[in-house]
Amino acid sequence: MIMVDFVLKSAKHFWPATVSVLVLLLVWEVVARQGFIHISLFPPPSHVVEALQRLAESGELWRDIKASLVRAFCGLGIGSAVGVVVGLVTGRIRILDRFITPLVQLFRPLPPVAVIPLVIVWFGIGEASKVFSIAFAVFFPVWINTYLGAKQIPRTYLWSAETFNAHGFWLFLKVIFPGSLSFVVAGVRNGIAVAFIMVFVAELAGASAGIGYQISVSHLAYRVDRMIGSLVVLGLCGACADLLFTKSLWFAFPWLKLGAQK
Amino acid sequence: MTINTHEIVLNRLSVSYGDTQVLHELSLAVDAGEFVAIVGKSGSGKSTLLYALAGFVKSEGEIKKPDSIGMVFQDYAVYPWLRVSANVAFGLRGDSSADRREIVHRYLDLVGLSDHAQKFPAQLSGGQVQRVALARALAPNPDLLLFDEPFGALDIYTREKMQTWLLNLWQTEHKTALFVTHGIEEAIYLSDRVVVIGAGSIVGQYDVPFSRPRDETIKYSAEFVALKQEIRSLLEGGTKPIDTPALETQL
Repeated sequence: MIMVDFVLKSAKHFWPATVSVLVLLLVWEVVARQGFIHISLFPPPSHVVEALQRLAESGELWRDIKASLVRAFCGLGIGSAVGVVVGLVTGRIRILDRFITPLVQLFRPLPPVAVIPLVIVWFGIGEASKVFSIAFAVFFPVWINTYLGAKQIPRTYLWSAETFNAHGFWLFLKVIFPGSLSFVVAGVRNGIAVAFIMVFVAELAGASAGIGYQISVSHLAYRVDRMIGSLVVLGLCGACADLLFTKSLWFAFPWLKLGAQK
Repeated sequence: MTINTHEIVLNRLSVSYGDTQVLHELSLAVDAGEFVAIVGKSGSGKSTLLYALAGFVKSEGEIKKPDSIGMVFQDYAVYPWLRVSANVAFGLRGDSSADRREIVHRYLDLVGLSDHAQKFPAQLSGGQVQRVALARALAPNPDLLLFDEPFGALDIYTREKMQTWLLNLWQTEHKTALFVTHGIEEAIYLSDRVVVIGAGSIVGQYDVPFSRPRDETIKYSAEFVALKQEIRSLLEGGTKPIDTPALETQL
């Protein structure tokens, strides 16, 4: 009974999106089969699914997904961790704000893609350069959001903590970090999107596996069906990562969901 | 001077925010166990007086106060990320976990929120959240309680309920308390003494002539209404200082 309720509730929630996707696929399939554009340049979704199926059967699809996800999550993890720590300390400690924030602001306008050639010179073409490039790109949105979050904490939260002698690391852990968490979440969600953009770009710059690599080699072979299939997989990976992150957050910090409902 | 007989002594206390002087050489003495209400118009410096006393803002002059202070704010300042029980336990870091549990249980019981211990503040009403804030301030057993317009954000019905509830609670706990409010009626109903502040100085002080325990019926007595009227006239009469006892005289 609970299962039936869940299915009905989900169906009620998702049916508009499902209808939109089905209509898009149907229109795409019909238009592609009319032959206005050669079918190999503009393949219908059924061909894309077939191409993905063949990639899955050969094991390439899983290898590429694994390679891209490992890079994305390593870069995301490192970039987010550094972004959160630097954001919290620059947001709350005035002397560090004065010294570090101008430096960060100097690098922030740089397009992260532009540093890839330099990173390859420094770290080589292996995994380190890719992970570094992703972490570099993720750092900035996470930092700026955390920084603003740490600055907006109501002063009464801090004063209240002061009456209980909460200082230093304890204050950061128990008041400043959770008090900035909704901003941190916004930063990391932004970072997830950036990480998947950077994974693609970093793999174009030299890789032997990964979804970006697959798109690159499919392009050389004029396999548009594979290119579109890989793009869809990359998009789905990003969307799933964001969904997983949001759901885990609500599980770990249920009060965030309560705040959103209010 | 015999300032050591008082729980709180403020002597020629001044506070400035930039070029604006908010408190000007204010002097006040409060006895141990006394409940003092501070009333004044917006911007008169009454909240700043509490902030200076708590050490949140820089001040000039002499301050004698107890080491342990509990404070309740108008915006509650209850942490939304902690459950009710964890909020109350926030100031109990030095105690063992068994002691902490017992203290939290005692104070949640005292504020009537035992059934809500595992809820988050967002799941409570405004009055309940303010009671969490009070339980949290009381739990470390501070010598002094500071209230910064604690019922200012509540509707009139909840506000009156909370006043009576605080009155009864204070009967049991009997802490030295400074209670900042806009409400003259609230100030008289709750306190032993009403201090009126205008433009950063004390412009009047009134001993409240009602014995404890009190109930709401005192609000309808002629004495209560007369006192309320007198304080209102003083507040409406602007900020011209009237004769108030100097600190030495109060001491």
